[in-house]
Amino acid sequence: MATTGASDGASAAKKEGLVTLMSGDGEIFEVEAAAVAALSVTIRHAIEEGFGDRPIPLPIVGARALALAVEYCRKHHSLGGGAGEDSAAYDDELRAFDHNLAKVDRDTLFDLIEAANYLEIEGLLNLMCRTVAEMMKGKSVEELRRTFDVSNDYTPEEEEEVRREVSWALD
Amino acid sequence: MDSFPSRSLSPPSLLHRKRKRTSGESGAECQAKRARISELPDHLLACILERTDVRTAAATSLLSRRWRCVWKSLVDFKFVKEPILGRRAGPPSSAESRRDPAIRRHRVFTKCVSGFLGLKDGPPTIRKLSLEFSPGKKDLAMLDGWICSALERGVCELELELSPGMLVDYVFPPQSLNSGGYSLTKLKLCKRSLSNHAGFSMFGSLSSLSLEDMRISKDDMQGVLQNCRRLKSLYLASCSFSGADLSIASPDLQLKELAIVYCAAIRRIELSAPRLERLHYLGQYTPMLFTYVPHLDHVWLKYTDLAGTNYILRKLSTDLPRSRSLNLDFRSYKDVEVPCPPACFGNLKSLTVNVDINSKKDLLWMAILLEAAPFLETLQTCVKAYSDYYSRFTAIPWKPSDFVHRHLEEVKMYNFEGNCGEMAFARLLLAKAVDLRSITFTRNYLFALPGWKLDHTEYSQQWTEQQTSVLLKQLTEGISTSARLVFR
Repeated sequence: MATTGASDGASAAKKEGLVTLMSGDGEIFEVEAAAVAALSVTIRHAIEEGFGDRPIPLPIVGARALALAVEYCRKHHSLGGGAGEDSAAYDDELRAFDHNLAKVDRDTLFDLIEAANYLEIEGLLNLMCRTVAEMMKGKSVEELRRTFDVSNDYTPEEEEEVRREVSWALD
Repeated sequence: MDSFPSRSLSPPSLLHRKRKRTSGESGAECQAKRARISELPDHLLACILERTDVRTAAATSLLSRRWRCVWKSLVDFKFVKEPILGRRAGPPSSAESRRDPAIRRHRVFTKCVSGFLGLKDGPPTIRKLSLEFSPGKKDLAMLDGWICSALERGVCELELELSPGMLVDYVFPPQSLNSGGYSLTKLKLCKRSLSNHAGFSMFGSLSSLSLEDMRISKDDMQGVLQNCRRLKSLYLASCSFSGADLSIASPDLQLKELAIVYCAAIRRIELSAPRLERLHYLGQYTPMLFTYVPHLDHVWLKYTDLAGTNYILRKLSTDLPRSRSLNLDFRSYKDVEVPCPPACFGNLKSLTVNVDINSKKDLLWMAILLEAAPFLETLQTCVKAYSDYYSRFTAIPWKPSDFVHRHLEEVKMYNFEGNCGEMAFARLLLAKAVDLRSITFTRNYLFALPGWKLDHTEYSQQWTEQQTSVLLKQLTEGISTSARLVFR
């Protein structure tokens, strides 16, 4: 079901207003240039540099994260004109879309943060970082370790030293 | 012809698609789960941590070695008393605090700020420190200590907001500060008194000062202006001024931006600021004396009373003949005085008029502003009517003269509903503005945002073709114009 067509992607007949993106794992996406260029600085620059006819390679962005990021661009472009959350155009439908997007599983969440960072989609980066931040707030160190699967590699002495340093933040 | 498989993306299919596995990943699942979060580069972890609270951010240094110093790359730190407790709260330390969570919150807050500022090996840079809490009398010395310590560590931006409640009289800056050498560039103070004992002399580097809900004496203000020689931006909101006169006047003032927002009971404002470029005034009409403001190009005035309306229509162009852009927000709900024949805005290029009026039936009076601004290039209007039905109809008494406008190029009419008053005004523009390139008609509202920005709402309903063709016909009937008429 996953498609890989990178090698012959360039020979595809171009449809008007579309741009081709290639994820790090080789999947090809044909998406509306206007929507992604409005939201993603990286893709805007790639198009400006004449990548419009060839697939734009996005080496560190996986297919699933790319698909979600594109969907984010599309939605925000059509509903909010790409405006940020402070804008009046940020309406209930966009809010609901963002809310749902933030419910992805944890690994995808971090993939999306890296994707948004690489693609320079400010709104998406902000949304995802805030989502993780909300998961962290108010949790004890043990809870944080459990939530994010972090294993403690401190020696007891080191841990004691760090604990002393941030004791003011702990109770 | 599509020679390679491509597909359109639809959200449901994608959201439910299984994550594609790379070989080896499934095998790794048997082992301890990797911490995907720890694989993020430092700057992205910092992006996350700066959206949490300081306590959570600092606590992450205990997670693992990878996390030890990540939080120390943060530069902005905000301590707010209320939400700081979170769910991490341990058991109350004494019977007293068990009874009163507020006391415990207070204790946690003070411990936290003191601990943070007392760190020997903490974040190398503290760019911004914000403290929001309500100090009791016995906390004042501690607060002074925090401020001194932050300043000594080179903090650039300091925000102090003391909520009311057990508010005690606290004056800024603390007496214990030794003079000078601080790198503070931005200061925001809320709900306290200003003290002139130190004359602000140690804040010579300050470029932005924001005072909210403060009592300020004439000497204090003078002290700030004399000592903060680099002050570029001054924001005064809900402040009271002893003597009821506000004087921002000094020949070597560097001030570029001044905002005076809802400072009631000022009797008079005097401005003499050679570099002032932007003025934002919001509130009841207060006489302003523009003694010397040669660079004041951008003025935003929002008046909440009729005196302000009269001022705008009768006297503004005499006071500010040189400004380049004006944003005027006023209301007219009963008879206003007959506007004077306007003096000339000799430089005005851009005008935004946001007006609340009781009826839109006659808007021709807006031409007064055009007649007064012969060099105007762009005009934006947003007229809101209380009611066209039951209010007594009182138009602003002004009939346009036989003027011709030779510079107006672009007009946007916001909150446009296509009623007769709006149509007549648009027709007047089409007829009188001989170089007009375009008029945009939109149902969106226009409003001002803090920080000199305008935004508009998006009205979801589009104009239908039938509506626009009727409007177009009415607008251009009998008028020859080359302007583009856009409905949005």
